[in-house]
Amino acid sequence: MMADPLALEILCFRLGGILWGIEAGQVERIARPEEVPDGPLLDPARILGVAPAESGPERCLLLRPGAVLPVDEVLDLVPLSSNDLAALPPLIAGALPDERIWAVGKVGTEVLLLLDAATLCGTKTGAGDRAGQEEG
Amino acid sequence: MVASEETSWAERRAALLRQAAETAQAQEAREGVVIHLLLVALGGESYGFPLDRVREVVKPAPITPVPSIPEHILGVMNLRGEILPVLDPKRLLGLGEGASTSEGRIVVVKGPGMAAGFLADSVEDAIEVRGTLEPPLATLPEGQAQYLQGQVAHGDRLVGVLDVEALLHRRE
Repeated sequence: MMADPLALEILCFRLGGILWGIEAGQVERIARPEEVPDGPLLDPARILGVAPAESGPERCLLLRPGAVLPVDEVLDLVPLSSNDLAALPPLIAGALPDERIWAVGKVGTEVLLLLDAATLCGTKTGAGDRAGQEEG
Repeated sequence: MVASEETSWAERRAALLRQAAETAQAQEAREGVVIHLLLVALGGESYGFPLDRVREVVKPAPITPVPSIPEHILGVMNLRGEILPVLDPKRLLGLGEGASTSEGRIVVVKGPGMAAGFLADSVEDAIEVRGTLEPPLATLPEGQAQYLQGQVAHGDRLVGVLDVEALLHRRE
């Protein structure tokens, strides 16, 4: 079977007990917490409404818009084709404050929430929300 | 057949149909309409989903919570590749929180252009009730009445008939 040319490479990670995904192209690199350069640090509790693991972040994602997202665990890099993607149900999309979760991915029976780094970092036009960013 | 005979037959048929409709209406007024419900248990009480709105009933699959949304929306589930929002009617009805037990089931309902799952403690029965949909009792927990179409008598108890639209589109 031919690979889907439109498939996205998604970096999967766990944060606050939830499976998340972000396009690999939106991640500059993955670093240990002690290796993170100075820069805006995103607070998952404030920006995503999830409490990170008590043991603290295992890794940090350096996002291309220029912010750092601490995560509990980096899991995998998976290709998601159009068959593996779905729009958020309108009931849920309408209840979210913005488009930080732009779709869901289907990985087996699991559902991963796909994040938009630009919205998260407040750099997306119209997002206008830099709440949750802390100088770190 | 001459034209006058045809007219006479048509008039007779129309009169019979009118009479049949009136008889049915009178019977409905006397005995009440037939209501088909899927009975579910929510917090120790029985509630009914209108059966014509129920698409299927499934065992709970893993539900992925979505942060920053109202707490009565539990999250999303992957049902054979279809992503469905899953709601907790108990929270809306003021009956506590839905607990996932082995008896728990997700009732998938059809909405206009969408489907959604409702977590129930268990599914009891599919019933046919002949009666009148009465307005919800004033003694119901605060805020519950807005999520009910009404109540119907079933045996020796009153069953709340859930208003799927109101549950899906909670008024803030």
